[in-house]
Amino acid sequence: MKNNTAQPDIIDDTSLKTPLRRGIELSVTTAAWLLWVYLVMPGVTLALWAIGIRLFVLEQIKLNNYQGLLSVAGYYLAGLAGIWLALNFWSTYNKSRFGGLDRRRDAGAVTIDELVKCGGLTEADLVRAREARRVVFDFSATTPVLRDTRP
Amino acid sequence: MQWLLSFLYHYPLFMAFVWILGSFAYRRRRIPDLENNRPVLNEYPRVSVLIPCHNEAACIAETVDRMSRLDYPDYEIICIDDGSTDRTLAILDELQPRYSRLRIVTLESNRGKATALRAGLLASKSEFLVCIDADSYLSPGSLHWFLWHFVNFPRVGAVTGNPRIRNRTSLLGKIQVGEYSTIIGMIKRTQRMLGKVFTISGVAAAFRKRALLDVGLWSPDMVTEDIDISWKLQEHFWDIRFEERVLCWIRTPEHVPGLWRQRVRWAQGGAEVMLKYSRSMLDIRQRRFWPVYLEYVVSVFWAYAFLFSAVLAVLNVFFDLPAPYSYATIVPPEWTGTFLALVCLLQGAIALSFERTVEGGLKKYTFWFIWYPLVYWLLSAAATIVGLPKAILKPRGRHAVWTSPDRGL
Repeated sequence: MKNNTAQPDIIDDTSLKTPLRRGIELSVTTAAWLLWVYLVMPGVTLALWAIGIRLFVLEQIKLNNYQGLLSVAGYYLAGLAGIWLALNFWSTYNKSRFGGLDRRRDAGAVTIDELVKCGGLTEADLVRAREARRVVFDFSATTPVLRDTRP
Repeated sequence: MQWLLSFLYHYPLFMAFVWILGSFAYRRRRIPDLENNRPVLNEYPRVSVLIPCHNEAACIAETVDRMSRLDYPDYEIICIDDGSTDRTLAILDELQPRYSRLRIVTLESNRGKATALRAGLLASKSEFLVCIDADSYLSPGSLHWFLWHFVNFPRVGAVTGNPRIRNRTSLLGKIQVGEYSTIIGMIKRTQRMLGKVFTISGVAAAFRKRALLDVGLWSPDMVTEDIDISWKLQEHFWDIRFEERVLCWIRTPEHVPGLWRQRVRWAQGGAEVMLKYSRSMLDIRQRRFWPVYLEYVVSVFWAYAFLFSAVLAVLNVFFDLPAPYSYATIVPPEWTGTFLALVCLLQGAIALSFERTVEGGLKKYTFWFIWYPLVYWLLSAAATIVGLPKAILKPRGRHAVWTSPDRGL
């Protein structure tokens, strides 16, 4: 059986927006894509140079323009390898040191006494609060006060 | 100052690599037998679903209805009305006869989410608590997944779910669909793989009651009780799991002021935790926390470095600054911008391929995702710049109360 049988009601209704707002959102997002294209342009240019081999050879190899890319790419590849190694080292260490190791034994259910100590209610009030379908607390003091319960 | 510029552009790139590779490593650790098939448990202990409400009249009826349709055999729903001044309590009273699982806890005055959760815990009858917000609901099989971790692993103190956005009409909504589907999921997966998570998602989290008692319950004075309880539990060596198959359908702000207030509160909460737990980070036993803590501290530094650099760039337009400060341009230098842009696209594509296994139909939002890297980094930086001083200057010991942001169009 799958986990997500009932689909949620996704609210995506353009009629909730004015035409002006729709236009602005579309325009600014298109502008954002243009910015991305601008940023990616050196890569695109490089690809286009590669298609025109002679110009590619002239610009990238004879004039040594590829050196910048190679040095940056080299750093990034080294960085990637470093991150990959560090993440795997740390996760392997975690797994070997703590994985499958359950030093914390199941301490069983929380008792009423423990709840009384931690919660600040009396035992009788706590039992009443747990059994009622309607509970009123006052938390204005340092410890809570049970004001009312209804079955 | 060249190093600062280099740090500004390389840090996001570095972190993008970390989240991508971390997510792949997390993927490798998945248990293939389970995948999306709901786990069968040896026992189905009772669960209490706690829903704190403060002025939630607009959505509480839908939430109760949805939550009453989970297919888990034994659970109760406890709505905690935290001193609402609207019709929340009246609506809950109307709902109670119709929903046998529904119990109502009332606080006489608004005391904040942490206190409301504490009240819910005191009234609950089970060992396992699932906490959600009043404007969200879980997918039907969620409790099985939460309980699978608790029943099988005694050291698990909390499990956090996978928030998914419902309201996607506006650009802000769509951007956040991108953000939740890409960066947030990747961060959670990577941190889980590294052993400690920065925070559970307060909107969808489950707790073992014993673990909560062990750490003294939620702190009522922390502005983000979810980040604080995450650190408390893990500091006491309770494990926190991320369960991507627990889908929690949430509403997010679709207006800039609402989004801004929400993000500043998150940033302030992160900074409060960073300050509160700085001392315990010196303890060698907390070493598994170090990567998470270090990443947060560096990201705060990045935000202020970004501000400093932006101010210099603007000043440089009007004044002739001396050499070390004379930034010629704020456009990423040489190939950095190209790599940054490509890696962001790659990160988005990889994240979507991961998320496709838990939610279909995300492809139609990819056109709008282009905003997320810009918005995410800039908004996070601005919120951090404002949030840190707020955390430092905040009066201590006062109950942290806040109003929910807008819930979209």
